[in-house]
Amino acid sequence: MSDATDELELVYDLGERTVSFDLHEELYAREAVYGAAYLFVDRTYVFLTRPADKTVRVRLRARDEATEESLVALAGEFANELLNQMVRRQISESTAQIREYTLARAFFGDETRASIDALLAELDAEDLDEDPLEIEVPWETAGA
Amino acid sequence: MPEPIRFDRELYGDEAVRQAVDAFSGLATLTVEEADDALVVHVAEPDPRYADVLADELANHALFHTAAAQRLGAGSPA
Repeated sequence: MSDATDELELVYDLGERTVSFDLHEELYAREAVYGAAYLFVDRTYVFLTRPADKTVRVRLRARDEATEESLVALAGEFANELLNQMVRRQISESTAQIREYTLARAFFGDETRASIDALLAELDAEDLDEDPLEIEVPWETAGA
Repeated sequence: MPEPIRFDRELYGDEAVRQAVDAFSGLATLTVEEADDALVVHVAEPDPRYADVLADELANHALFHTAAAQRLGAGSPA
């Protein structure tokens, strides 16, 4: 197994109905931890502590009796959701500029204004100088 | 007496903790002690029907409000 994989492996600490693990904020953004916790509070008890600087300890406590296997599975699901939140965050950040550009074009784009200006310019360019009132007479146009 | 619950201020929003305390104030006598780095919630005389889950439920509530505030753009607590 590579060193990189070892670094990302979470070490679970099991207790009575509880499983705990530490997350380093340099690897896992706190927003991602909140995102995962947000989705887990309805099925388990989640508590966060700060055992060291830049480290978040997540403690999950099962609502009912739980086996060691089910606790490890629960922690694994939380870790998966954490990765999901990280990916969502990265995609959101990497596409932020294009989203802003699209929204700006939709709300403040000048295509409509430009087409109105073009129509006005076209009208101005029409040669209606012979008519002092610039009122076009249809029968003259038809015969021309 | 149940163990006090220590909410680290870098991880939990003050407002979120207070909202949770308000929500559970009918089920126990809850007092909030302000420390520099944490809000410590002391739980006394819990309703016996919920005594075993009250602290966990209160903590979930505080975390939910913290996460919700962060989602709405209020940012992380610290």
